[in-house]
Amino acid sequence: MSRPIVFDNVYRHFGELDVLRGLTFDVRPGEVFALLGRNGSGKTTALRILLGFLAPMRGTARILGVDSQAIAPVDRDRIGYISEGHRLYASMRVKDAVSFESDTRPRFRRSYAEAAIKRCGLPIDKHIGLLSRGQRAQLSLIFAVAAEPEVVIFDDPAMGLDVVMRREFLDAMIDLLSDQGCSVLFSSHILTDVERIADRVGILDQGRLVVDATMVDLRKRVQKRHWNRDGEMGRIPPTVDGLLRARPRRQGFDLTLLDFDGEREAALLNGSATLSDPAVPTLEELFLDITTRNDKTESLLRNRESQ
Amino acid sequence: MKALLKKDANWLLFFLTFGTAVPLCIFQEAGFEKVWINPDMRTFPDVMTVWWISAIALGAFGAIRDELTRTDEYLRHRPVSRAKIFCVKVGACLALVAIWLAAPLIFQMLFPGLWDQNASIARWGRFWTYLGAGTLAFSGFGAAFCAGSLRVGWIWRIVIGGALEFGLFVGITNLAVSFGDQWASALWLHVILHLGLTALFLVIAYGNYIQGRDPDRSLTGKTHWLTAIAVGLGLMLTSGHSISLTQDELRTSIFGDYPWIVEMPDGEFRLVKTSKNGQGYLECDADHQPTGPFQYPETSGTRNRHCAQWWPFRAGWDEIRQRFRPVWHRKLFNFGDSWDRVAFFGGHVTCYLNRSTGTVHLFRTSAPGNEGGPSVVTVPKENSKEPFSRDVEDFRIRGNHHVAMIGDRSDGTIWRYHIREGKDRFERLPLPDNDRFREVVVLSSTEAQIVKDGQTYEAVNRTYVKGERGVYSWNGTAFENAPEELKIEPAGVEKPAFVVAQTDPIAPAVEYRDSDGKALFAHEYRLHDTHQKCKGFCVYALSVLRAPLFQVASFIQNPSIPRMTFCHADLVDPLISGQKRMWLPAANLLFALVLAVFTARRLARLGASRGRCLFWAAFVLVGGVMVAVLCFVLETRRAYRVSPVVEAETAPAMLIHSKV
Repeated sequence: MSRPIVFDNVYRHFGELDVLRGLTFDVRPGEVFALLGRNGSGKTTALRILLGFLAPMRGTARILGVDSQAIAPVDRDRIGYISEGHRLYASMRVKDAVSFESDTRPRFRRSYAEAAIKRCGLPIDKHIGLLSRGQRAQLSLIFAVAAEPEVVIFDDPAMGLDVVMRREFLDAMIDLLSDQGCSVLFSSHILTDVERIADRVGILDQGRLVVDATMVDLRKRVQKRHWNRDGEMGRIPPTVDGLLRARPRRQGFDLTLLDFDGEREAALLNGSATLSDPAVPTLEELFLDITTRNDKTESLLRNRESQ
Repeated sequence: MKALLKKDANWLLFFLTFGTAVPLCIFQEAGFEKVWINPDMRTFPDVMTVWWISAIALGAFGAIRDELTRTDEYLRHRPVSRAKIFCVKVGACLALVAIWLAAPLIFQMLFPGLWDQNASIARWGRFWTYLGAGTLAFSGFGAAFCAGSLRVGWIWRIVIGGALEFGLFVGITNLAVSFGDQWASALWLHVILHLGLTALFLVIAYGNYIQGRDPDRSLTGKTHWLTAIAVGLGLMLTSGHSISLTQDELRTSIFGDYPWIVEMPDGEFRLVKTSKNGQGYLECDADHQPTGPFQYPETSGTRNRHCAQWWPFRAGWDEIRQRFRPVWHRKLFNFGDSWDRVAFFGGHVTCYLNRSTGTVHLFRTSAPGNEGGPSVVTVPKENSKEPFSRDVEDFRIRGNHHVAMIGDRSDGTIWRYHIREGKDRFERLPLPDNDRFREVVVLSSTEAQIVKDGQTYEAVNRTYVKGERGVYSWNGTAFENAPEELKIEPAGVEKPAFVVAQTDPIAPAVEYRDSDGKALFAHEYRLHDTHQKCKGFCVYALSVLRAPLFQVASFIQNPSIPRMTFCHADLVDPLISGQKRMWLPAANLLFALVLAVFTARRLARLGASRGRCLFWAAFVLVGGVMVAVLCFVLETRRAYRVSPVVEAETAPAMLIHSKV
């Protein structure tokens, strides 16, 4: 089965700001792919290009085998989408919005939507503008999945929700998507949520994807260890392959290591250095290690790349 | 489609209510007669203004609403084509505008009894006039929708929208009023142009909507050049009008410094200007240099004498200016029937007999520009003149006996009607010896007043009625023969005329001619002092900024063509009209050529195609500086930027990649 979402060397700038610089990745059928990155890293831009709302300057994005710039109206019914901020018509009542969706989307299952709205406890007669953020998010989610989409795209769907609302939203999302088996591409800043639901994560940095890995793979291949050299301060760990980040801590360094094996461990333990036991980093720790920089990290990474 | 309409129902309903209810209220406030019997100068222009402004608001809101609420992508992401979304929204707005125009009129037609019992004399055919004139609401909507859809920032959308609306107004009015008295043709032209331009604007808006509002991409295809040409023309017309008004103000200021011509009782002419302290008058020579104080010919105590006839040059300038004065849009709304004319040319009266109430309705229409508009005077049926509908003299005799009268040349009668008299009155006033009314004359005299610092003079106007055999004054109760020393010529004698021999907007030549056309006095005005020359320079400089297309047309235009139109005020530069001052259009063209070369080079540097460079260069050459500015706005450097390819050594490398 072909990949439902494909980014192939996509470039996009806004004025002098290069937002996407050769973005390349794909999402497999049935996969939940989380696109992560700092503010302004290009997540929303990538999703908007994929949906045909923006044109790439170079490269192509394809969704359900169709070029994103030539999505036929009929194909849009196969794609669920929740925009950032859950934009709906604020002046409509919930029931009017259901009618609007039902009248404009042939595949929209009205009974399913009404049942889901009831299950979530959303007030059917209330104006959408008067709903809480969480309720709007739930409503958006219901609308996005009620047409049995083959691909769902969420742009930071949990943004602005408190912990309880976010948990409820995610539960609803998992609940609604569990039966459908569709591919999901979503961006998020809430990494604990991503860990719960994503099969695969991509981390955008400076307009390019620097991480494209399954959650299983990440847990297996990445580890954190503390490196110390007999309490001597100011000594830096030697450069070894797989060293993603070295962050000074106490008298040594917290190291984030990829594919760490015995040979690399020996290189690090050269001399009187010691290494702590390995620990699996959280996604948030990994994200921070990759997307935040200081000179030390930069030089370490450069050294690693040059090797 | 129903769903797409329903989502916009709330704001469409708001606009529908506003655009229908407000004109209906205005019509009701004006009354039935002012709408359907004798239209006035205010009601319909007021309604048109409401329609026009509402249409602009509707267009602007309709175009940017989804952008403002950020629901554009939510709307787009459904199996409905963008074309359909656009067409449904625009179609709903156009239907709404049509309802605005028709509903209040139909309502009044269906229920005339609500407003007045006088429906039997209503001119229902005027419905089509209203409807035709109201088509400007469509183009107002189209222009606003087009501007709101453009791929430029908010400020530029407002600027371009304003220019489009005003350019539309100026351009169509220019063309329509050039039909002169052929009102029906003007209306047809008005309707065709407004509807045609509406279609053009909506095609442009459609192109922009379909291509999306992406500031990092230049418009393509026909949307590009249609947008450029439509907006460019709007800017050309608007800037032309602005420059014309500024030049007009400067020229008025220059003419304010020019001396008056004073005809003395003995037939001599003098050039007179106000002294610098404004306390008196100075005679001056042909170079406008003062030669001494001006002496009044009258002695103190003289009353009602035909004394020195002043020909202030401002009056002469007004005569010139009249030929260029804007004739506002309302002129278009009145055409065809005689009573329509009555609504325009000052001091005319129309009478209607209202059979249901047994009263005569007297419609007195003020002169254009005279605030207050027409008044309806209800007078008893007794002594009433037979209902008529024609131009008559409408005049007042002021002073101690403030009486309002109308003089009907067609039957030579004079009628008075009430004004501030506490009761209705409409009665015939006989002239002595059964003379027949011919015209009204107003004479100025000066009366000496002794004040503390010396003798000053105060001008007094007296109104007299001229009949076929004599001149008559009003004594408070009846007309009597005027004093003989007035020496007013009989009606049949032609008066000497003050004429502007050369209607140059800066240096006119004026003459005072006798009845045989022989020049009794001639003077050619020139810029003399530095202050005047500075103003003159500004007038010339502004001409250089006008659109070359209009300058060339002005230069080759025959100046003998009557130009009492709005059109030529904006598009024809009177400085060069009739092959005058050839250096001025040459400078204008040279300036445009430099701009065109600069524009083409800039676009070539940005990487625009050769065709696009040539298009803009040609357009700038035709449209001048405003089109060059437009090119900067539409063809931004940003729109031509190419994303740099990320080299391997500078790109962040893939750190973690799961092989599948």
